Amino acid sequence: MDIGLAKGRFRITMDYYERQTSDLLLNLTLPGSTGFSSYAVNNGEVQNRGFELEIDTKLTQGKLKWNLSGNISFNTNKLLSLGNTGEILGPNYGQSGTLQMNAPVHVARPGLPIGSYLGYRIAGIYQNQAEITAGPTDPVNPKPGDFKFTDVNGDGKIDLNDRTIIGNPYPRFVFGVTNDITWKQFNLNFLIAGNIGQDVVNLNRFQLDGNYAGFRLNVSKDAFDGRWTGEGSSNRYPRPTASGLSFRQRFSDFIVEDASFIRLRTATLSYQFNIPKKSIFRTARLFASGINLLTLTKYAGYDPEINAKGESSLTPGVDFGSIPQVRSFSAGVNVGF
Amino acid sequence: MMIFSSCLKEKLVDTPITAIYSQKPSDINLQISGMYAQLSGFSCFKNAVITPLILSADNFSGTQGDAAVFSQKLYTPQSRYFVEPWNTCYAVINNANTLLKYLESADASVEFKSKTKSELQFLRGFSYFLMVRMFGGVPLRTEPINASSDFYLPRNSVDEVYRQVLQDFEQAAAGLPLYRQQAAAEFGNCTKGAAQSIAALAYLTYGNYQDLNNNASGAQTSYRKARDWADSVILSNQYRLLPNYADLWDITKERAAYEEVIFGFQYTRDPGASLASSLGSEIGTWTRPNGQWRIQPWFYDRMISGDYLNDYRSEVAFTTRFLNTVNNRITVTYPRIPATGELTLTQPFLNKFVDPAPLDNRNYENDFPVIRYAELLLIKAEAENEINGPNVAALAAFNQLRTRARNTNGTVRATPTSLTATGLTKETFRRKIFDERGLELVGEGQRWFDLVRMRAPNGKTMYEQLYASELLPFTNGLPVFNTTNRTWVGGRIAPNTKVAFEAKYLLFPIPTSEVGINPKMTQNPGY
Repeated sequence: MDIGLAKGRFRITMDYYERQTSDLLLNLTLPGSTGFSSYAVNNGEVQNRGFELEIDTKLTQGKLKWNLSGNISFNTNKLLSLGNTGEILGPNYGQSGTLQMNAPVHVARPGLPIGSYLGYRIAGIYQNQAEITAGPTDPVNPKPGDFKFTDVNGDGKIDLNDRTIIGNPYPRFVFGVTNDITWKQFNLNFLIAGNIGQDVVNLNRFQLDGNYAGFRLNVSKDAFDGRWTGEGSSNRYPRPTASGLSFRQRFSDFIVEDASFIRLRTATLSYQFNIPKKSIFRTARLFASGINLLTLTKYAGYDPEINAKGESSLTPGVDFGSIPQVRSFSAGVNVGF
Repeated sequence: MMIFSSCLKEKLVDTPITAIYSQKPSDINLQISGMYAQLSGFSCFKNAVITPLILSADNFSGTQGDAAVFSQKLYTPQSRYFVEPWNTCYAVINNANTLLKYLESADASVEFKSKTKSELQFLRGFSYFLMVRMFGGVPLRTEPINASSDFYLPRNSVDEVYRQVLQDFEQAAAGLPLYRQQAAAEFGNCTKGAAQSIAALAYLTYGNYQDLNNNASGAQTSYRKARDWADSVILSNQYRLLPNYADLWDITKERAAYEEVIFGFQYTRDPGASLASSLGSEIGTWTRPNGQWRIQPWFYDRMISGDYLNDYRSEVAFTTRFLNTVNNRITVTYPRIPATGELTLTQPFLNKFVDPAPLDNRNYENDFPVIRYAELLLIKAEAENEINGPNVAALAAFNQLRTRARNTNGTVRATPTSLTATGLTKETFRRKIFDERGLELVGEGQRWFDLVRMRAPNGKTMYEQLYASELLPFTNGLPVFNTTNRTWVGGRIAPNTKVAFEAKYLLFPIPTSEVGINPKMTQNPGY
């Protein structure tokens, strides 16, 4: 729907859509006993439903001209069905090398967004043996100072059935605002954009936050300073150990973070010269601009806007050593002949 | 504005093509070489499977990292050391099933097809045998996988898997050549002797399983078969014990060692690749000074005392004095007393997989023996003992090892003495065999299997006998050299390795590449 008001000074566009995609191309993870690891199948129906709003205004038109346009879109993604298959687990992360997690992160489960995160919940640190004895049976035999895993299904033991949905890689909404301000010969143009509501799996913290010295890798300062050293010392980070991977090779909500962000993507300030008619130049413009100038986010990693292994619709939102976007500045002169 | 468009009807290839192209012997040999490479590669015998087999046993301990995880029994189903061997075995099984199915239509002679069929059955049986010992019952596949296969099979029982294993090895033995008649180009591939020997070991292991599950008559049948298969290797005269135990571990004599090594994985220094993907082995890096896989002090003590006092094999297999290349100082380990100026370290090291000039630390020349004639003689002795007790035949086979050990490097020693039947019972002789295997085969990946399959006199496994009883008196902690008294004080067992016995440790957990993905798969109890 398009609406124009006030002699074209104000325009709104609204869109509502519902899109159903069937016969998705998915990589079905196969059990090892087949001799294969995955198999591409056409399976599944996904529904994307959303609403988009775009506004274009000329806020002021006098000596100071300010054009503002913005958009916001909401989208929900829902896997409708996988045919005969119940649910599909994503590929294992960390099958070799030093990550040592070797567990899936994503799941394609009907009724949920495709690629939702499936994992355990961690509820703090065991402070003493009494807490361990009172807690659910965990086959890894935790000691005081180890992570407390939650018995989600209440059956008294910790196993694969205690994995639950712990995050959504898709934003609740995304928005962008472009401002173009002109005053005399100066022009300022900047774009602010943001994704709000998505979770990212910070897989780097699986290695950095476990206080595990076995591979002689780095440990994050927070994790080391906040390590458990005795009863009551910490309810967040575990005791240091040289053996016995602290996260027990389980993917958990400890490393799932809210990666909502608002970013000043670009900003350009320019000055347009007044060129006399007889000059060899027609136009001349001096400008300075920057890209990725400012990011507001609570995400602990380098860049909330990442996607390692983004080639599959089943595996969004994982940060494992992803290289962050750079901030760059440039300045120059545009000359027209 | 109007836009016209049209499309041509395109024929999309919609169904997979399943025709197999005609195979020549050279193609088939390439594929079989690939299967040997899978089993000997980084994801199986080069690294991934030898780590749990050597370090989850009682006689080694790991100082840090993955090695420590296994010796402290902290492993989980997610561990790549279970995932990769499992996946590798099934990849080999699927390749074998596929080739077996299409072998008939290959462009090759009848003799070639018969020998190849046996070779494929050997490789398939070997993979299933490895898995049933490590994990218990596993899904059985004897048909190749295609798009219409059922991807999710439940576990078969241990009995069913052994039935497949034993059938595969028996049929393999029928069609494979004798070692001394094997074509030179096929040196290293399996032989009749290899199939017969592993069949003997499989029957013996299965018999142990039946005994532990109260099927005494079934066990006796299995032991008889084990004894008969062992006899067929002995009578074939294809193998012998090398006179000098040290020659088995000398890489300048590696080819000749195959007079005793019935089947082994071959590695060679590989200039064309490095580290994990090279064709070299890496067990030398971990086990030799200053590696992370070290000998438990209490075990070393047992291997140099009692029956093994002054046993040449201990001197060959272990090292307690070496030049530390990091600081260029002579270093001695427990229990040796250092001379002036020498440094000390806590634990002895294994000295079998020695390469003076490896290309990198995952690129050693040393082969890995899977089964030697020495072990076959012990299998014969053990099977015979289970049937008839320590009789003449059993003792004769056993004592060949003692005789060879006394032979040292030419000079004959008085110890280890040959055993006589005086005072020996079936139970005590079985214990002697367990200990003999412990020294003769140390570091060759047999110890964990021996612990979980062999029975102590009280009818429980040797694993429980050690972890619930014999290891308890040893003081926790590693020995420390006291420079004032000039003695080794402190403990005799690496810290945190005296893990309390639990029945779950008699099997490894099913890896998550199966149990999380296959809804019909059940995990082993306790994991």
